[in-house]
Amino acid sequence: MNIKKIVQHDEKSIYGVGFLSLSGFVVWDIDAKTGHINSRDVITHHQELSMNDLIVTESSVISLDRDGKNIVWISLNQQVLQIASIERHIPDGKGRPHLMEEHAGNIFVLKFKNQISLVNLGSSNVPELIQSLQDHSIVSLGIALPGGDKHALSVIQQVSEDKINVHIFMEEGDKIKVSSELVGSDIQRGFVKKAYLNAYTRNDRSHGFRVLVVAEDSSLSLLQQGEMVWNREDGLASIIEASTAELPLEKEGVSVARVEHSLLEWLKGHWLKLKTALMVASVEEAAAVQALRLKSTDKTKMSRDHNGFRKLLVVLTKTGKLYTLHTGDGRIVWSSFISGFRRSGGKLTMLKLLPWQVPHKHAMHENPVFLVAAKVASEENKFGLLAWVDAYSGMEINSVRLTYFIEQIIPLPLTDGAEQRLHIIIDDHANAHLFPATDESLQIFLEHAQSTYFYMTDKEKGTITGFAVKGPQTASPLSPSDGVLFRSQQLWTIMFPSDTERIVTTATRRVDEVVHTQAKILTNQDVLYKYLNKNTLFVATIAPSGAEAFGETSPEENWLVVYIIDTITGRILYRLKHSGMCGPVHAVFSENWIVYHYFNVRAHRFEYSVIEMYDRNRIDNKNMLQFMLGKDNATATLSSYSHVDLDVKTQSYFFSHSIKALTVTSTARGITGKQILVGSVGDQILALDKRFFDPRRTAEPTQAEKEDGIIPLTDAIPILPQFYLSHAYRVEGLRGIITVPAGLESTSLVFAYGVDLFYTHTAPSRIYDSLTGEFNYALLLITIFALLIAIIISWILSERKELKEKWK
Amino acid sequence: MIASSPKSLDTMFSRSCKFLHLLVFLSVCAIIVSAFQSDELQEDDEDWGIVGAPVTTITNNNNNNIEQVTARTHRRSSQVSANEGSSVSSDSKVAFQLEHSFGDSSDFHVAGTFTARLRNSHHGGQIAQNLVLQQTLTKLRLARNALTVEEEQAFQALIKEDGFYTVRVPANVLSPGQDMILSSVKARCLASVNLQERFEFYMEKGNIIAVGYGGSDCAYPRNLIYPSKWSFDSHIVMRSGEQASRTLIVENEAEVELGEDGQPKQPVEKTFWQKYWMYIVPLGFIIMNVMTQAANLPDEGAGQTGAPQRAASAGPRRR
Repeated sequence: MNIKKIVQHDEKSIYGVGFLSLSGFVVWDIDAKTGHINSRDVITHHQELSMNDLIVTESSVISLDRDGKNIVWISLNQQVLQIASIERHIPDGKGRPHLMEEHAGNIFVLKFKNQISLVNLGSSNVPELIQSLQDHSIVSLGIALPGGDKHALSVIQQVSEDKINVHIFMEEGDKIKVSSELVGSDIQRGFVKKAYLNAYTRNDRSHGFRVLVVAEDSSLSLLQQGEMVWNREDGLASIIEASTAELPLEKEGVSVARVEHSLLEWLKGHWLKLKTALMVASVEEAAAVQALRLKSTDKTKMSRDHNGFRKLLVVLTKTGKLYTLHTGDGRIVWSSFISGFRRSGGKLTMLKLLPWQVPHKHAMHENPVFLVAAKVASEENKFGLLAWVDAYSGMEINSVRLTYFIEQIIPLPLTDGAEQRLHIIIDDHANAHLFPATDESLQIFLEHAQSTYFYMTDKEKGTITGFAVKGPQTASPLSPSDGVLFRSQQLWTIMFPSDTERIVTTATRRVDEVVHTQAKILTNQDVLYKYLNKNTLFVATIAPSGAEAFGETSPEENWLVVYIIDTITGRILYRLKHSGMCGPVHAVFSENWIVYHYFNVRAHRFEYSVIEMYDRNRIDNKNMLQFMLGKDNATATLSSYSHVDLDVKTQSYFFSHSIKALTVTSTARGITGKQILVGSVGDQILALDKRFFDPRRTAEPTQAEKEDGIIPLTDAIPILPQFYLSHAYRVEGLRGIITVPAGLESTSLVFAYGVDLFYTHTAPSRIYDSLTGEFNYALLLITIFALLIAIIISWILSERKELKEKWK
Repeated sequence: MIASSPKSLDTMFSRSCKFLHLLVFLSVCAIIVSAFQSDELQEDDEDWGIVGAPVTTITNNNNNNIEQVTARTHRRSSQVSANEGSSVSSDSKVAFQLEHSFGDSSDFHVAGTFTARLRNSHHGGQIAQNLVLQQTLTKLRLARNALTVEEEQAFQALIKEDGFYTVRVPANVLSPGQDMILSSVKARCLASVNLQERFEFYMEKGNIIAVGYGGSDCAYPRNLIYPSKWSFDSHIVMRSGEQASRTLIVENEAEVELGEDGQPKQPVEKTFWQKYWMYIVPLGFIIMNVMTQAANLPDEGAGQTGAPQRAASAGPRRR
């Protein structure tokens, strides 16, 4: 005997309903006020019942028999078992039906293979078919209407891709009222996933209904009176990857009419402006002018600006929908589902969004293209999916279904003639597949295939494995949909002992990071060479016991070990063990330094550590003059197989917050100082100057060190109010922060996403390459003007004087 | 010689546990060992017979040529103390195999044997409750088998095609299992330094985390050079990494002088003149210059300056 459902029938009684062995119902009648059990009824049936189908409606307990051939029910007040054949009452139902959880009053829903049927089991005690609905139909939960024993239920039927039919079934006593409304829906929102019914009283005292619909892209829409009243793009709350694209160049010679969509609109705009200027415009017209002004400001233009502040933010959401947002005002420029992915079937997991083609050099007038990768993993098969999407129009250029599973996608530092970036996709057998699969890209790649390496991290097993790409497998014909196949050779393994260490975080440098100088020149003329090998991986491991909840382990049982690993040779370049520390660990790797954040169990505080790496091999050419004249080995080709002698400097600081995200600003040429951007636990973004994370800090820096910009060492990283990049705003549910260089060297663009989205600029070394917004242009103009007048007057005076001289 | 010795050493070591006074000594050793973890090549030549000889080939019972490791290291004082006084009870010997492959990562053959001394020390010896067994490997040696003719040919082919020479050792040296630690190097890198190989072991409690393997140096581009001899010259380094330390605790956080660096301190707003004087002053100079020149022209015409100017300005007047 097991109780499956507890239902409050009315104010006085609660029913507990369940099955007794395989072929009986058991109903407990419990007093709602005292908890006293009034009665217990057992009704048995001669056949076995389906244990997964049980609902309790207004007056009955309904189930199906084991084969799904009959509806079996008992009335709550009569306690008599009754049976009705499904085939007789619902002749068009195919396959084995199931009872749906959703019901209203005495209406319940049977789900067949290709349809749903609404059935009324009223006082007549005979199941009556109300309606059967084909296509993709979603049933809402039933509601009880205010005043009286009326109940309602709605079914959203997807008639076609852009039309949905809203059926409302209302039970009024014994009668069932059915109403349907056809509502247009956006193809780009996908099918309806969930519906919620809500009732209101109309002007004529009758019942009106509105339905809140959740679409495939997680957007919300409210449908009422056959119309979509409003909708919200809540899909944007589930961003998993974000990237940026440049806006199109402003084309010269484009007529005004084209820019303003049509000449008529343009004329209308000017007419409105004239009216407002003459103070004869109405309130609406004034508002329209205001909107027009806002639209025509530079900030929201759909073209590239000189400073590179205007960009398109391309974001990929969990549902598989792509959105592009304009950085000027955050509006959605376009949004679209990748149709190639939707057709794939199976459980889709979005993987990556990568810039495939960036308009540049000779491909200046091409549109930027993004590569979107996803994978489908079902019990039968696992495979990857790729799609190429135009960033300006949202058009899907191509999509392929791969014959293998995607483990990793690696963008290569190579591009073909059309500026398409070469990518290799690593499958689950560690084979590499080259994209684009063209002869040209194959030729380009073959030049570098000898020195192409990759590594894979297995957090479960605690291993990192390195591979080298081995020449193309036979002269296989190019298959555009699967890429060019390359085998790989396993080169090295790093295995963290599972009983002492567990990988928690890895960090690498950004692929597109620009470093301005390789050397750090100190005030005392000493040169420190940064270790800038791009094939460097930072790994943090913690003690397996440290993964448990805080406070359950002693400081002795916790440790954090960080590694710096060369990913070509698999050599550990540096290993540092922090005793008494535990995760979560966040890390950011930029240039020659790594900043990471963790919890100090002993001190009960969060902590940051910084690691800076300098190359001791190159310390010989210390002479600054040589360095300035370029007579050093800074440009020599380095081999990963050479011996590396690292000079590693570290330092730790306390920090008062737990953090959610950690990243670093990036600028176009890497000259500007850096800021560490921290997503705080309070969903705010903090910008901490990199100079706070400098291992050369000492408590009392010397004069020379002070000149180098060294801040006296403090125990903790201070948080000052002006560090809050997000001001007073909170980015609810903050998950990630991306930074993009602006055209201006001083400025970095910051986009943070979570449930909310936040976008801002930051200038780590202040804005030194452009005038600030509050620059007094008027005063400058007045000065120039005054000087001009002075010139003219003095010129006239001198002319006169000369004339006088001549007449003398 | 190395292969035959572990048992006899063991029994020799085990005698010492009888001496109670040694326990005190042991704990002192443990403290020294745990306090200082050397990252240098740890070899003790006396125990192993060969001192300073660059390459010595000795013949084994089964007529295999075994190369002995070169000794290039100095002794650590802490190590010496640990090895002195008959022997230490908690030391034992371990051996594990080195395997190699020529370009094909599935085809591995035995290339030699590593032998090491396993030291079981008790971490935090003073406090009896906190005894943590710490196993450290010391004196890691490699006895490499000589290359067979086929292996030599395979190596030559590898050098020619600039392929990878891969070695592997078991991840757990105490109880070798399936897990293997791999490491590779371009064969040309080894050939260019005459097969001088360098192993860099990163270990944690008897587990090998990673092996850094390679020649002592490798320049790029790698030229096609064949080694003059086909015997390896091994150099072994054992590392365990560094221990993070917090040295400085500043007592008073409130005394943070943040104004010094300028960043946290609110900058004082400058006036227009203060900000842009460097543009305005030159502009002013230019204008002044223009004005004075304009004012000077008539004066020059008046004949107050030198003769050439007078002639030039007088020219048009005459016409």
